[in-house]
Amino acid sequence: MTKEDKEMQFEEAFKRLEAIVENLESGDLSLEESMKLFEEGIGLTEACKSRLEDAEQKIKLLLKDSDGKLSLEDAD
Amino acid sequence: MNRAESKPISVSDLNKQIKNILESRISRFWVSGEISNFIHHGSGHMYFTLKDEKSEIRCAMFKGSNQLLHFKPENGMQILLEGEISVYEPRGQYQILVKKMEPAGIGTLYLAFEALKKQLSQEGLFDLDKKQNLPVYPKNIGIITSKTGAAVQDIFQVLKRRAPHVGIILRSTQVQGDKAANDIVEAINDMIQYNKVDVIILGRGGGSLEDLWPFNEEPVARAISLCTIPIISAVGHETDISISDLAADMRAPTPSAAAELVSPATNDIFDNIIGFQRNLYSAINRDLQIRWQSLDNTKDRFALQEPSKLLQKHHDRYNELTKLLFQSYRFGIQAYSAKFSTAYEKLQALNPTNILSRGYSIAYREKDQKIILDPKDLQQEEYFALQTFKGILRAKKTNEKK
Repeated sequence: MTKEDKEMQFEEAFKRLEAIVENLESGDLSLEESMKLFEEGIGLTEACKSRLEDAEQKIKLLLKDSDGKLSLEDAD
Repeated sequence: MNRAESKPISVSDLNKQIKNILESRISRFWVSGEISNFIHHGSGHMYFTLKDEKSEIRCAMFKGSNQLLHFKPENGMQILLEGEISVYEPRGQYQILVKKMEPAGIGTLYLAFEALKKQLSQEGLFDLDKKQNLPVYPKNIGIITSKTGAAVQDIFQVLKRRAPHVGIILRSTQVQGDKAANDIVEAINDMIQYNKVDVIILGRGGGSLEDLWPFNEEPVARAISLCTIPIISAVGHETDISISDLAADMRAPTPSAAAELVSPATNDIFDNIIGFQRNLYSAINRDLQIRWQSLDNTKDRFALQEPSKLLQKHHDRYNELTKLLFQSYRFGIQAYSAKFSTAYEKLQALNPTNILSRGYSIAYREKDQKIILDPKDLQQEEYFALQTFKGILRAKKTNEKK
């Protein structure tokens, strides 16, 4: 699981999962392809789950300096 | 009173005493009545008489105060005004010094609200087809409100409970007073420029109509309507409807409700994920079953009994299946697990499908189904069958290869 996958939004992940299930159900795949897709799917669902379970809310403040430059700062 | 006992005082002194008494005894008040003899003087001051059926009183509203009026006073208009008594000593006259004034029964702010609402509505600012959809699974939620207000805490609380996986970016603004509207407009533009949030909650907690006023100002409405990020407006309590609410992509009755609306509950997402896992298992299970069935057919047809040494090479695949099995146990989907174990044993016994799937084929004679191990088993020009992974080919022996 790459960092990028972990960062994937639920919406994208769910879209990909739908495509995977559909693909698996089509029956046009080699065993190898099926396994690969299945594992990708399980990996995605696991990543989504851990995103939910490990989540600790991050609250940031959007600030603007005198030059009008925007930045984020941790809220207390 | 005996005239000799009391020393006469001057007119000036008398008026001064009257002024002192009236101005100190009668504190600031609200009074209602009808306007007459209205004059808007060239100096900018306004003079008029306020009357009811039985009585009248002179009134003055100086330029500094009347500039803030949201309406144009006219003779015959019923009004409500706030002022204090002022005595003009040189003429011995008293009058009301008017500080605030609004049409009776219907507040000025209300009139201004209605006027702006009508104007913006005609411009199409509130059109339903301009509304953007809220994202179903926002990753970051932007909040525009005062960081010291009650609203922000309400929103934090809901998001912490419902969607702790969602990031929050707060752009603190003033939410009441003269500078609030500009600050809010700037905050909306900052959020667009920073481009990190998928949806914005704009709002504040309850307050008087004056407190909520910045959310009824034109620049705020225009900034909301131009905002490319979906905005949900939550101003005051359930009964308060603001121009912001009308211009926003969605209105929430309170800031807490706004937070509920933008955050899909963690439980719902969880159910969704479990649903996908179930679908994945059932799809792979069906997929494998089909393969095993075709395997059975092959077996019946060719009566292949002898496991080839080639099959040893396929142990990797079995390991994969074993892994699947463990995973399915781990996810607690026992039904699938049971099917997997039976299927797994079956596969152990019947490996040829792997050979076929790798591109090997089995040739057999049509007349007696005997597997062809030697080209000599066939006559020249004799037809034979070729079993491939996905189906049977009919073939003919032409030129025997030496």
